[in-house]
Amino acid sequence: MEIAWSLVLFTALTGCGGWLFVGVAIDEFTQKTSKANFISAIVALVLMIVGGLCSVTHLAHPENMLAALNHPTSGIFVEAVLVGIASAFIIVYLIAYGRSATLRRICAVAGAVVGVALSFMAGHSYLMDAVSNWNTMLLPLAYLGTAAASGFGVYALIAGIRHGQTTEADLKIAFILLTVGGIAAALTSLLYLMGVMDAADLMLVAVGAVAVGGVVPLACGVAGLKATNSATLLAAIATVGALVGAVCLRCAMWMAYVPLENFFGIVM
Amino acid sequence: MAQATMSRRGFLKTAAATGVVAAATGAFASNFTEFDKALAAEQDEEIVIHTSCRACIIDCGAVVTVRNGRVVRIEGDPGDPMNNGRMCAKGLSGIQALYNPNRLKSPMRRVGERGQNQWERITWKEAIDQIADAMMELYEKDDPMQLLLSCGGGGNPTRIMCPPRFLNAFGGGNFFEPGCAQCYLPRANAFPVVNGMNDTSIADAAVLEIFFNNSKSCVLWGTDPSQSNVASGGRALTQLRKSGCKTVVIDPRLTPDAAKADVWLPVRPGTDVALALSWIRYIMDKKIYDEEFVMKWTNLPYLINEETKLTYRADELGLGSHDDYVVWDAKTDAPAAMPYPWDDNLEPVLDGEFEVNGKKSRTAYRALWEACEEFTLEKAAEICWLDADRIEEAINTYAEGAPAAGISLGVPTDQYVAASDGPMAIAIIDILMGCINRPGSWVQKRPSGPAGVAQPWDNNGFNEKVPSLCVPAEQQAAKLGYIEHKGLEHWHASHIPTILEAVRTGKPYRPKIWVDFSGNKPIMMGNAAGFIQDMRDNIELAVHCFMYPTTSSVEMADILLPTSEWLENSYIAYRMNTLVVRQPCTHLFESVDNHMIYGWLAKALADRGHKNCQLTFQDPFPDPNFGGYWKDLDGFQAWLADQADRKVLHKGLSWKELCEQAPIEFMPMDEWQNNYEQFAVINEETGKPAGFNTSSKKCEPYAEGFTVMGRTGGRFGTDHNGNVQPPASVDYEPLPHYEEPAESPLTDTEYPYVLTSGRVPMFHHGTLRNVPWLREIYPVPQCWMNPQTAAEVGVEEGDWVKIESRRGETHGKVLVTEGIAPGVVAQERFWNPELLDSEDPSLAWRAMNVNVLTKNDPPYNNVYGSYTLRGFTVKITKSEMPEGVWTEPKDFTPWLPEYSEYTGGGYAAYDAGEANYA
Amino acid sequence: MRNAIVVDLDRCIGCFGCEISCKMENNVALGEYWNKVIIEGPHGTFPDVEQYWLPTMCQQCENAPCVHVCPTGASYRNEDGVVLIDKSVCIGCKYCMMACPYGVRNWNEEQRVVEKCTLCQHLTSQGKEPACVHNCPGEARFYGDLDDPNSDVSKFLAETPAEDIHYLKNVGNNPSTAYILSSRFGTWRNGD
Repeated sequence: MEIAWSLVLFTALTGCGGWLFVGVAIDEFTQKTSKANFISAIVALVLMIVGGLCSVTHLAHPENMLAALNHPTSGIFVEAVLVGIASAFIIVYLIAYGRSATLRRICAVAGAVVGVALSFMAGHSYLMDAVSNWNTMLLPLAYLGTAAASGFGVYALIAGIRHGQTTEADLKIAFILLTVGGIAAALTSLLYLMGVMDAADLMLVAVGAVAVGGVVPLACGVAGLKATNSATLLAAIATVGALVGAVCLRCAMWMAYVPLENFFGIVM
Repeated sequence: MAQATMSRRGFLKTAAATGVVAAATGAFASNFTEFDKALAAEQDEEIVIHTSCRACIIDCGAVVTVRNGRVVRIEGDPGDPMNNGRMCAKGLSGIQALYNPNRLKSPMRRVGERGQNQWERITWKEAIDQIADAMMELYEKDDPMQLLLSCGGGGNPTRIMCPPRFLNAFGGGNFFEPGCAQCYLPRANAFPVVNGMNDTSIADAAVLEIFFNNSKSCVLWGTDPSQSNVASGGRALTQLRKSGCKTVVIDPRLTPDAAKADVWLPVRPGTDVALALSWIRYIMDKKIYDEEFVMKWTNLPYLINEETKLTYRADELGLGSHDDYVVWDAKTDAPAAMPYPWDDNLEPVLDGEFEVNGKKSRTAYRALWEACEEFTLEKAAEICWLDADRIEEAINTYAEGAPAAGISLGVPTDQYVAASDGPMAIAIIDILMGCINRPGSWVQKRPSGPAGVAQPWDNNGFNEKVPSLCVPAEQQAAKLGYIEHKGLEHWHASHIPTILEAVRTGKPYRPKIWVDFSGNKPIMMGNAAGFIQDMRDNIELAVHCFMYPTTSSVEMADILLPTSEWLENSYIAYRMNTLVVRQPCTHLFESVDNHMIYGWLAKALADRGHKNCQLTFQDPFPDPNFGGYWKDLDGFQAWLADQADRKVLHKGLSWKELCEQAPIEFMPMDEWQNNYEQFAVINEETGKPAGFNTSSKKCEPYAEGFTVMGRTGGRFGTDHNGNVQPPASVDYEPLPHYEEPAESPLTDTEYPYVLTSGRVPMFHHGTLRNVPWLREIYPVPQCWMNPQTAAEVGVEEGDWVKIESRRGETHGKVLVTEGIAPGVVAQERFWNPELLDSEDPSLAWRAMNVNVLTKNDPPYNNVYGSYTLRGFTVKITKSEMPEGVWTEPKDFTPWLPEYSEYTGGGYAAYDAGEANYA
Repeated sequence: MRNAIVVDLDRCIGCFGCEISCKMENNVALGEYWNKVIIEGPHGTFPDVEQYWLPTMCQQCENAPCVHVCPTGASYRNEDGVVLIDKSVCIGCKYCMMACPYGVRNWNEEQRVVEKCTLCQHLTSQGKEPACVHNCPGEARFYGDLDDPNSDVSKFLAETPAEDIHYLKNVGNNPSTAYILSSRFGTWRNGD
């Protein structure tokens, strides 16, 4: 099957945005990199909107989208709703910024939870009995894991820019998160891809997903905990790696599409 | 009138453009007379027409929905007992053939050099006048024998009796058809010589017993009704199989029928007769034949005059009358006259060799045994690349069902030198097993005869009541190749290689005018390149009549005449007990039913003072059972209605009434069916059983009718017109024999593979390659080869190969399949209409046409002159797809229907005038 | 009510007539299919081979994945239990095509929507048969309500030995279309 780039970008960007906002939410309680939060929230919102728009380009008839209200249990509907809710919480967060700390924290946590759910559900939509290579919980977990690495990468990058290269203590949590994200991406990608490697020639994208998308952020995260002089650079490398990895993982999924039968031989 | 000169590149586009312009300007106003819009219905009017398909030769009843004058749906007609409301891919495709944008829309005349493909539009009058002038000149100043007519290509093109009938009127000439000696004529002629009844072709509707579900076993020998005769014979066979009838399929390819067979014998192409002889031997050896039938209803007990090769007549030995034959009587241990049908006082010896009048004389049975003695199962297995045990299983599967069994022999033996031996051998097997005219037997003769090829006219074209329209003895003898291959007279044909030699050398005379009523000739002719060259370089006036341009138009023709598709045509056909009526659903452009062209040419010749042609317009015609020629559509349709009425209906229905009532059951089915054991029914006048239609009134497995035919012209001692003809240089043998094919994979090291071909369900002969629906399914011809062969050649599935024979080379796309033997390759005829419009239009017939490879040089079958289209040798190498070929479904978009409105056809554009020659 | 097509593979002779009749009736574009015949074979080694033809189309699954995944309800089951597509609300996301276990949904390139076999609702609603059933030269196709014991399909299935009745591979979708193949004509290879 051809790679559905619209959906690759949709899931990679909204996942990134969701997990970026998780970084914001955590800082709302740890208060180490607060200067990054407003911009991070804006970037997260932008990622949600751009990602959402990408998904629309996949549709041949988006003008019929309202009809989705007829069928609120479908995967696509859930994703659309989650994008909407997450964006709403981010917007309220931005509005509340500098006004109500309580509201801000509530919005941050709520938005983060929805963002995480979105990154999971975006992968969960592909679970269908007809496609055994997709029909595993490892798939949404990998969507979630790769999203975490990229989201935390962006957060660390923004934090680095806003807080400078030397405030080691302030950035430490961001790099811990990045490290965790890297581990999550590497682990979940590896687990999913191990199950489908025989389906297609996936070696290149598998390396991209696991090594570039997981190990690179992980290494950058670990390195960032020590070598603080180049925190921004490390975060930037980690972000690029994580995004490339997230895209690779999603491409691998499309390439591993083997339907139960394809009698009409239609190439989608 | 608009004159358009077209360049090569623009041929197809311009041919289409005239239609577009005409439609846009309101239906050909400039050169069409007023026409009756009988079928161009009012808005939202939908009419349903019961007609008959002609996508192949079988004439299935069809129901056509016409909405606002446009054909929108085709279905099978449930009133037709043979297709029972079903319709195959070919028939359904009629819509896309009818409205194909590349239909030839008006007569055209070549303006550039032949083959340059430059044309101007002319009127029907100009076209008919030019052709008639040339014919008249030939008739008066040269030799009428120099007129050459042809048809073929199957499906819609003209009926096979039309050209010879015209030649009768014209007073000479040769007729050829690429099928004929290579397709069905040998079987249609040979089976009755042997069994005195009928052939066993399912695809030509000779076998109709399959529709009654009472056969217990059967053999499909080189026939695949599931692909060739889908909705009628194919349908009946599915029913038969499902009801428990055991089937044996003998075919080099795993056809659908082979895939469903109980025993499949993938015989090596070209060796069918060796296999058949082993069946005969086995049946005789194991004595599993029907002894009662063999003794009483065959000529096998009769003694042979070894000198004349004919069975003794009693008068030759002074034992009785000329009508009696001679047997060896065991009681008296002496020869005795055997009166018809049987003398219970005699005890004839079936198998023996005796001395009669001091000379050796074998019984016919013994002669048959000796003819097949060497063909043990093991020997046949070796020759035919089969397994002996499986041959035995096949024979027993068939024999266990006898006499409710039969063998349908398809086309393969027609397609090589064994054209007479194949049907002889197969007919003999059914006779030995008594599978003749018994319930469930496939050899039957029923009231309306073979449905698919029913002709509303007599075999002689015109008949003895108009003596000058019959063929005089010397005119028959002058037909090219006739004296050597007398079986060709069955359809009044001449011998194609002899025609081509005459075209090339002018000896004994050179055919000058050629009128062809078929599609793409080089797709059908053996050694296509040689055929094109001979005709293009030597014919003085070539006229091509067809529905759309083909290679025949582009490379050889001087005048093109547009004929109509079956949805526009008129005809009648018998479908068991039912008459179906092909009736026009519309008339497009200036096209006409091809039958009209014969009438118009005869009329134009009559107007020029041609006496014989004037006789064809006598009103009333001297013998109304046959009728004369027609000068307009009404006349043709009235003639059809009259024929239907005289032959089966007896109700005096007009054409219009016929159309309204069709399909018409003219006899209850049980009455039609219940025609078994007719040979044993006592004739009230003679007090004797009816017997079979042979000299001895018995089945004649010792088929001396062939020998008589070779010496005289016909199996009863004269040709069709009652004349005795000079003998052929070599006697036709009364028994079948096997010879290894002239090009044999056993000995050919340069061309190591043996090639065969055969049907696919999407096409009929050379037609329908321009139908998007069908090309979408089968865009290019598959070259079937076994994985072992593919490995030897070094190709994989989907690769392209170049196939070469000693005649030429062409291409195919590899299908690697276990459905064919190692060493055998199969590919069906093909051509690419899309390449007519390319820089090299010859690619259209060269690129992937197996008839570029086939063989039209000797040896020929002596009875029918058949040459070799299957079972010859080739070599194969990996190649590339020929450039410009359409392979993807969307490629065929330019051929999607371009709807055109009712115009009245060419009938509205041409008036042949009054016929008054008193 | 469970309307569906049943195919007797013993009688299918691979003529492709059903493909054409479907295209004619439903105006299906070149390169697109609502109904396609698959050549299953030859299996085995020459000359001991088997082959059958498998006409494929929407299997009218009882538990139709296409209906589950469709975000807009364009893929739906009508009051007669027939799985259909309302093209006017199709957003063209193709999830149903991915979810269909058999790949028997068509992407209409011109309209940019998903479509598929409708069991010729425009004909069956008038008491006629679907075009492919009506035309099948082998008389291999049957149409009717599997829940109605008097329907063509039910009667045919009732007289068919159970071991000859097959279904395509089932991943919980429960296809309704039954394929009949008796061992005399081949070994079923497209499911359990």
